[in-house]
Amino acid sequence: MSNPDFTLYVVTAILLYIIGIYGIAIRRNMVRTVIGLEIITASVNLNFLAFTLLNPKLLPLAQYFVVVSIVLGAAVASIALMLVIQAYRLYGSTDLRKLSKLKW
Amino acid sequence: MEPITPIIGIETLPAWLCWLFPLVGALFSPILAKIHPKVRDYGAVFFSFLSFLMAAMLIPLLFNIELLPKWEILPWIDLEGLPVLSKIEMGVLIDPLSIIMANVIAFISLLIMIYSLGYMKGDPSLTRYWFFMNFFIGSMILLVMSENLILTLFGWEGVGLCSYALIGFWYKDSKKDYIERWVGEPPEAYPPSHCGMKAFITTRIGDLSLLLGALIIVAFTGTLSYIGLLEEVQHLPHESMWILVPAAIFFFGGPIGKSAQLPLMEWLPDAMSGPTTVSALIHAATMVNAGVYLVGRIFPIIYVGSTVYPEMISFFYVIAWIGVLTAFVAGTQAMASNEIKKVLAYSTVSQLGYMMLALGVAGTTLEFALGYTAGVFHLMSHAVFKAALFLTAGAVIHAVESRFLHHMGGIRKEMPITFWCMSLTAFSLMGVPILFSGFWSKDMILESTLLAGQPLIFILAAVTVAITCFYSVRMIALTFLGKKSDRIHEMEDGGHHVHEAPKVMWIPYAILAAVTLAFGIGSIFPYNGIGIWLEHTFEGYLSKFIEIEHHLSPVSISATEAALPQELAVLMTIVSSLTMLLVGTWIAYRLYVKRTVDPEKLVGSRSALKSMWTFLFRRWYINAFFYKVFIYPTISISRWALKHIEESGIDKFNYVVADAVKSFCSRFRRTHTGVLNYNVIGMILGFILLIILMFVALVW
Amino acid sequence: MILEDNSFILLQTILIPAAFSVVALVAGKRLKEKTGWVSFIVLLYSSILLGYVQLKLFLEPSFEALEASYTWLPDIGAFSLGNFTLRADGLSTPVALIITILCTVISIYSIKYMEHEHSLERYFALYLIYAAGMIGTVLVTNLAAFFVFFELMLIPSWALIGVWGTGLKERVAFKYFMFTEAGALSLLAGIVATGFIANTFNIFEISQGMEGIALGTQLAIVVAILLGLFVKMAIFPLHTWLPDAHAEAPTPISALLSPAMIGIGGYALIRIVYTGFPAVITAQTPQFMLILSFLALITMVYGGYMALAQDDIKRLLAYSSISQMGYMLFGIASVSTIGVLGAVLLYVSHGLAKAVLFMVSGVLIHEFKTRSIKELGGLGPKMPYTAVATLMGFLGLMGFPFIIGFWAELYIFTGSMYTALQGFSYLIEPNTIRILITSLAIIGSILTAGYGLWTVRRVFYGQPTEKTMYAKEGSAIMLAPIIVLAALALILGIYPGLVATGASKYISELLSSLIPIL
Repeated sequence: MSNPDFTLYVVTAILLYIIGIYGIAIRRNMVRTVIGLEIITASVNLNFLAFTLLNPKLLPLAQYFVVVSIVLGAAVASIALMLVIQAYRLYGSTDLRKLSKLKW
Repeated sequence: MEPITPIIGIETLPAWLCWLFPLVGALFSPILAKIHPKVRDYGAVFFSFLSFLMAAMLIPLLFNIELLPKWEILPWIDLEGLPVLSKIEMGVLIDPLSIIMANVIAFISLLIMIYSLGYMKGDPSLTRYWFFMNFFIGSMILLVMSENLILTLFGWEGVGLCSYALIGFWYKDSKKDYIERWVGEPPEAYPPSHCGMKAFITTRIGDLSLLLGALIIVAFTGTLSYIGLLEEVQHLPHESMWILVPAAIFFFGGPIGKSAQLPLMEWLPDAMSGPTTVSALIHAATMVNAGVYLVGRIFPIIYVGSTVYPEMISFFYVIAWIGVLTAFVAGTQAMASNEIKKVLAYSTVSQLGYMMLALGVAGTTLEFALGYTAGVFHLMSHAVFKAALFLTAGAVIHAVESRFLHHMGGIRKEMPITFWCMSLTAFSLMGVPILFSGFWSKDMILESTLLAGQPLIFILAAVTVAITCFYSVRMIALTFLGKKSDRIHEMEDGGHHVHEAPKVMWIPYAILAAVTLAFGIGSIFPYNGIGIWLEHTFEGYLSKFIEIEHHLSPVSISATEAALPQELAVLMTIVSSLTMLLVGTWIAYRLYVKRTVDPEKLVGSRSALKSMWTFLFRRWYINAFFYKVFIYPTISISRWALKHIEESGIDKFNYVVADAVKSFCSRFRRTHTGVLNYNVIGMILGFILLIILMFVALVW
Repeated sequence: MILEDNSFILLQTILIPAAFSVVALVAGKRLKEKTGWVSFIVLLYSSILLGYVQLKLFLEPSFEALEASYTWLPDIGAFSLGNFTLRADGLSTPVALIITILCTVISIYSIKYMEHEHSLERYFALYLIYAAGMIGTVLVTNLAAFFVFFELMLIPSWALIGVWGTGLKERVAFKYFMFTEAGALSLLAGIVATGFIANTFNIFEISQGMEGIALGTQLAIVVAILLGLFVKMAIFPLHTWLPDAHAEAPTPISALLSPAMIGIGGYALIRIVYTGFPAVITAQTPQFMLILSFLALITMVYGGYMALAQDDIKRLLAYSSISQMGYMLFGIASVSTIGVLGAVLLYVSHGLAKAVLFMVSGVLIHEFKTRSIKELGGLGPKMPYTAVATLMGFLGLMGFPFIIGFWAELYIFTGSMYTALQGFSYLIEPNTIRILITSLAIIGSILTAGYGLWTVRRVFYGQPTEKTMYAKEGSAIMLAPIIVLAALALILGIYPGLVATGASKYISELLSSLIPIL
């Protein structure tokens, strides 16, 4: 029972996911990495909710999960931003490539 | 042929003791040396005397050949389950050949040991000397007495080892001993240890060839016992017998090495760097005869084989030709030699060639007994006179303190006994008629070549007679006659006069000179002279094994047909040998005794003669050939191979692999950049790969 | 008749040296070099036990083998590694006996040679484990256990070379370890494949399990096993680890590495390949075995040539070992009872002769602190016992009568020639190629005479050099083992039946069982 809305939501979620990955994988700025992380979280939440359209019985459970996820996402973001600030203080720039002590 | 039963008992005990006594004596030498040096010396001679006694006790058996062969075996190796060589016994075989050889060896060894008491007096390493001399005598008698080839090999290699140790006896190689103890002149001057090594390695090449032939034979017949081989060789399957021809020829490689025939003859002249007693014993009278003995042993086997399979006759042709060529080549080399012992060494090689020649032509005819006897008789008479020649040469070297002929001369008055002994035995070598055994034995050989229908061989052999006379007279003239050399004058000015050898030294070679005369006179009797008697003995004994009435090989028949009738052969022989004797002696007489023409000026004036003399002096360049083609290249190849194959090639491969791994790893390390972005990308790629794999697995 | 080993004789010969290595480690701190006496007594005990078995084999014709079987690891489902089986029969007893005798006398030799070295307690502890590993490799008949002991031989020797060696010892030890380990992995692959395909790890049951398996598979397994064993035996071209390892190892260990350890490769060939894979040997002959004979010929000649070019005396002996292993392989590849018996006798003779020679080189190194032959000379008068021992050692390698090397060479060449000519015992046709190879091999053994006599001449004859002017004879403790081994070689040379009787029985039975399989 494919709901056209469902497809729309899922596709959006995937798009957001890709944008988020782009942010983590390609961007050099640490802050953008955090932003990318948040976008991924948002896409995952959207995905969850999209699937409730298929099966309305899941609705309360899905909503609970999403709320918890949003809260957790906020916590993760705050800690990540704290790490970014520390890194900025240590290295004097927000360039991700400066954190390369674990190299060959 | 009726089966031969081994007889075990007291009659064969002398045959065992004959070789055991000297071996025991060798082991005792170090022990006796601790007691007192004189005890050690006399003890060593005593053991060789015991050996002589034991050998003499076997002589009566020679007169009753119906009782022979006597044969005694003890179990030695007994291994289950091997198809061949599973049972090897330790045994002695008493037959005319071994009795004669054992007596020759034991008698001459005893005389030489007595002589050694005087010759080697004062040498610091006498214990080692006696040890190896006794070990040698024991090994040699073991060689001739043993009843199978394996035990013969023990004796064979034993004499090889002793010869190595005794040739290189003065192994310090000190340059100040050059005049007395080295051998050769530049560019071929060699120190004693080098000569010992050369002897061992050259004879070893012969031994390996012998081993190769023996292995092929044993793979076919399953036995290496001489009596067993005689039986087996008649029952061999015809199709595969072709391989026995090269096997027999390889087998002959051993005698080529040990008896210094072409092409392995060059070790013998260089073996003169050992003490003269060693040269006399090992290289004149005994060890070099081991090859002749082995050919004599294997003779009936191959002869019977050739009646079954005619191609085997080529074995005998090979022997005959190698023999006569060696005789000729070595004789010419003796003509140009500057050292007294080297002349005798070449002479030994030449005479050994005669013996091989005799055995070879014997195998090509039906009348094998004459040639066979000629070879053995010449072995006996050569052993006696050559040992005497070497011993007298040793006395001269001691007196003059040099080995070179140009340091000698004019000492006939001071050393009369030595002069007469050397001359008499040299006459025997030359083959002076009637009184000397050399004449009878050499003429027997020449006669047998004519009776075998081999004119070419006869001509070469006869020419060699002339050569032999030439160098013998030259040697005696340069040593004893003429003016004294400068060196002798210097010595006498320094108060050191040349005098006769002490009794302990001249008695042995006087005895030997007397023996050669005795053999000569004993051969005069027309019906039971020594030569004729030997021929009857061998013919009677060997015909027990060789029944030629039934199998007449076509090759033998045609050879006999080409032969001359008996009386004509005898006449031709006597005429040719006398002619050659006179020719050789007259030329040498004019050059060296009367000095009508100075040989050095003669050679120096004409370039043709000079190059011929150089050719002979450099030993037909055979020696140089071996060094240039085999020795130096082997070492160069090994060094080249070490550098270019081992180090640059195979070993390098290890390091190439190791370096490749190292460089790959160090490049692969660069993927760990430490930058987070790349880690994430890697993670994503991994995810995608996993998903793809999952789908693939699901589809399958 | 096969006896059960109820008194744990065989297990003792392996475990007691291993156990006493701990004792040596502890006691050695105080005893220092005298710890060698501990290892001597322990290994003497093992030698006596094995000597007893060998005497039994020689004196009692009906006695075949001493076997012991112990449960080892539990079965995992249907997969089982089998029992830990030990077996001392005509083939393994002479080999094990030589190993223990060599280890025993070399302990004494080590006492004097290593007296100034450090940490000798570790040296002797490792030495004992090494000895236990070698004895174990020879006595076990379970392939998995064989591999365990094979590796157990490798590790102590690596440590011994790396710590107490000379020159670039760590690098040489590492090269030795890596090379042999690579070979051992190939061996492991073969063993594991055998175990799964034939469903058993017991050497005597493999041939049953292999019946009906495709020849190609069997050949592949055999080649894998052979690669591992050839590395150990140092057959051309897998020999390059040996010159470095033997030259830079401490001399007592060289005297063990060369004679005892590399021959185990040949022993394993007879044990594993002949017993377990008869189809490969008979069906593929003459091609496969002929190729092995040819490889053996190349090894023989190549080793000889390389030895001729050496100036370092230990490297010369190392290349000489490679050449002798060529002889051993030649005997094994001759597919005849005589040849294989000759290979076993060669193990004995090479073991004794090479140990003597390495110990002599140790005496020279100890006295003159040099390994270069150029710097030595004229030692004959000053070191008579050493000179005689060296000459006897080289004569033994050459195959001179009165020393057991003669019998070994005689049987090896006779075996190959017999296979080439007769063939009706094993349904092989007269083979001209094999005749040629055998002839070349016989002629090639002149190289052994060449480098042997030349070395004796360069070192002991001639005039003394500046290093050797004030030489004196080596010390008695170092000479005693040399004399013992030389005397043993002489005794066996005059009466080789002492070791050959039991071996020939076993080998002839082994090879006669090959006939039905074609």
